[in-house]
Amino acid sequence: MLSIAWKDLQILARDRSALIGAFLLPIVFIVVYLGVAGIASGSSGTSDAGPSERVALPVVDLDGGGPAAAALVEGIQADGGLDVTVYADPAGRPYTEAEALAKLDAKEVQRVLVIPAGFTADLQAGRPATVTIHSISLDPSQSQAVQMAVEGVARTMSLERQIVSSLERLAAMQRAQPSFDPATAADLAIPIARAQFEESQGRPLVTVVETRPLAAEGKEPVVISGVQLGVPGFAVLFIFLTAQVTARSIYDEKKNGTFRRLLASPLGKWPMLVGKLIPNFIVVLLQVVFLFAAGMFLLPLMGLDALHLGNDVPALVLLVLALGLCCAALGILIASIARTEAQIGGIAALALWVLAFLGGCFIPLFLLNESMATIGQVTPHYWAVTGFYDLLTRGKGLADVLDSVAVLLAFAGVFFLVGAWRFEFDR
Amino acid sequence: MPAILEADGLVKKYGEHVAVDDISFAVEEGEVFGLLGPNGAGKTTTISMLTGVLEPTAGTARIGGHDLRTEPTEVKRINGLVPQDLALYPTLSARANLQFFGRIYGLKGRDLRERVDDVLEVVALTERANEPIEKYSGGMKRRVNIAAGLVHQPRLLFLDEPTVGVDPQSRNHIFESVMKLNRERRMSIIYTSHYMEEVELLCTRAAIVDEGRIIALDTIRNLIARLGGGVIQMGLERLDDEMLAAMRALPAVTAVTIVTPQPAATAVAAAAAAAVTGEAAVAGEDRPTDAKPAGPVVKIETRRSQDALVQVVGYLNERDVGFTSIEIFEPNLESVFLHLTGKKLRE
Repeated sequence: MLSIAWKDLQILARDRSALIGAFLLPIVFIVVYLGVAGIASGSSGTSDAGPSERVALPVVDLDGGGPAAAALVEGIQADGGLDVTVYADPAGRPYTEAEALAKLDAKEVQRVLVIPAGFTADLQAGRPATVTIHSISLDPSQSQAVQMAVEGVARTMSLERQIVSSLERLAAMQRAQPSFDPATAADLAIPIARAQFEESQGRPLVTVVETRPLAAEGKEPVVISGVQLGVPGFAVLFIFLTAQVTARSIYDEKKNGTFRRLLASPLGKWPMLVGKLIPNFIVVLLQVVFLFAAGMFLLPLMGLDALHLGNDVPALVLLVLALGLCCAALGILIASIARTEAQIGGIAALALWVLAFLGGCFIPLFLLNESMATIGQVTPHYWAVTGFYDLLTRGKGLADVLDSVAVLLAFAGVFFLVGAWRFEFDR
Repeated sequence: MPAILEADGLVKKYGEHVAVDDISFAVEEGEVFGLLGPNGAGKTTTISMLTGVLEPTAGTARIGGHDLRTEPTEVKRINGLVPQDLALYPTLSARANLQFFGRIYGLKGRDLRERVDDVLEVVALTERANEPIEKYSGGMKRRVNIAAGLVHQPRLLFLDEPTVGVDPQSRNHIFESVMKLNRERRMSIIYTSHYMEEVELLCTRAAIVDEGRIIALDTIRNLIARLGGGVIQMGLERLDDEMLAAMRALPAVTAVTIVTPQPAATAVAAAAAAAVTGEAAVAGEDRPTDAKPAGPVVKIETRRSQDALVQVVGYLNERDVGFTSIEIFEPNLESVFLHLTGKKLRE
């Protein structure tokens, strides 16, 4: 069994095209895709701004037109370079927060700024308030620009409010002490103002929070960047494509006649099949290490974000092991079904690309509608990609990806059993 | 001598098609046994069943005292298989190929290295053992193909048409290797071929196989002796019962039978037979090789072919009957096969 695996690895090591397909092509694909996606997100119709347009920022004002909310909107409009409008229906009726989030879910807008009820009253009373940016934008630079613009105005408002507050305290002191010497007012005012300024820097009255929606059941904020989505997605795509390596290896054995020699040897049929899938399993592990290492160290050198592996590396290893088994078993299934080289290289490859698309390797399914996500669940790709996103972008841990691991192992078992059952040893 | 192999009623069916039909034979320890028959006769299927590649539809075999059906692993350890096709990994070196085929039989470490070195020496490829075999000539690949079947020191070696597509020099080398393995290592060998001269040269006994059945099994000498003096196959312009009776009555003729004419193949087959057997193939007239014979073809079995030829030609001249072709098959396995089946081995 191990001798078959070792022999297949030796053959694979000499197969330059297979190595390029497994290791180099995914990197090229990821870089090109992220580059194109970056350009597209800045210019496509689904984006909220063209290269020379101001970024749209619909606002849901729950403060009821309070002066602080109005000042925030005006400040962002004037200083932030954003196109800020009250988010309203065609008749001019402002949307509620729920309605606005529904529009966001429906991808009608890329982001919504929600100003909470009581915003003005809180600020006037010196109580902290939080405004929220709900965003589904895949363009990290645009999201960052919006957040910085809103934070800049909010910080100014905080400072202004806190300085005003310090002056009000000074006035109150004067009123409380009729003997108060105006000559000492400046001596008192300066430390009070400085203290308020420092407080506004460290603990601003207005805090800005950005949330990412929302996986299907989705309540957790998601940290999305092109690299965090692209690297795992394309890794899964190319990992499953290596299932063809197993299928092609078995096909070549049959074509060359070496399969007859294997059948004539004391090796059993099951050890023979297991021996054939071990190399694929090892290749998958190497692929993940190589692609993720490239994501961490190579992509930043190209001006892209670095890939972050999340918080639970052991869970990541477990997921990758399950993925490797699933992929290798799929190779046995393909070998049992495909009867010609064209069926392995053409039809099987096409099927794997379609499954990858349905499974969310190209576009995360939580960004698409629910029916697409439901269809995607019948593919092993979906569970692999979802597991990676849970670990890498949502910061989840082992307990959260056990369902993905279990489903991938179930797929592996079904693939192997059906493949072994259908396998024609004497063909 | 004890039998190393006893095949008992082996049958292999694919749906309605019967590829091997109730084949039984025994091979003695240390014997080189031939399976002779045309392509498609069932030789490779028989070998595939005996080596555990295919499961028999019916029947079984005992090899080295182990039953093929109930003790397949023990049987496979005794067997060595050299398939007809080059069953090797082209991008690996000869040494890497042989190491792999040794490992799957459980060899490892020093034993494996020594066995690989040994078989490389047997096939005279030690010098180029570390080159990828895709760079080898066809003959060299054939030799590695044989070495791969030897590396685990099988007691019974199955050689399935090992010389197909091989140049004469490599062919001779293969013959020498087979004889050496049998003589010096007492290896039992089952050798399949549709080249009768190979079987005549290498084997002590042979089974002649046609359409999935053994139609004759004996020592080579006894098989040839069955035929007597050889066979003449002659195309005639015409033939009637009187001529047939007269030719049968000629002193040097033992039998005359009518062969169904095979127009397009006759002349081509004659040329091919002559090229391979080295026997004389006499054309009656100069005519294109794809021309159809004008009349029937008869097969004349003789006590001595030269005498019979003189007598038959003399009789035809007397009757003023021309002939369109003559093929003379001296007594050998080719003519035995023709005698038994009415077909040539390479038809």
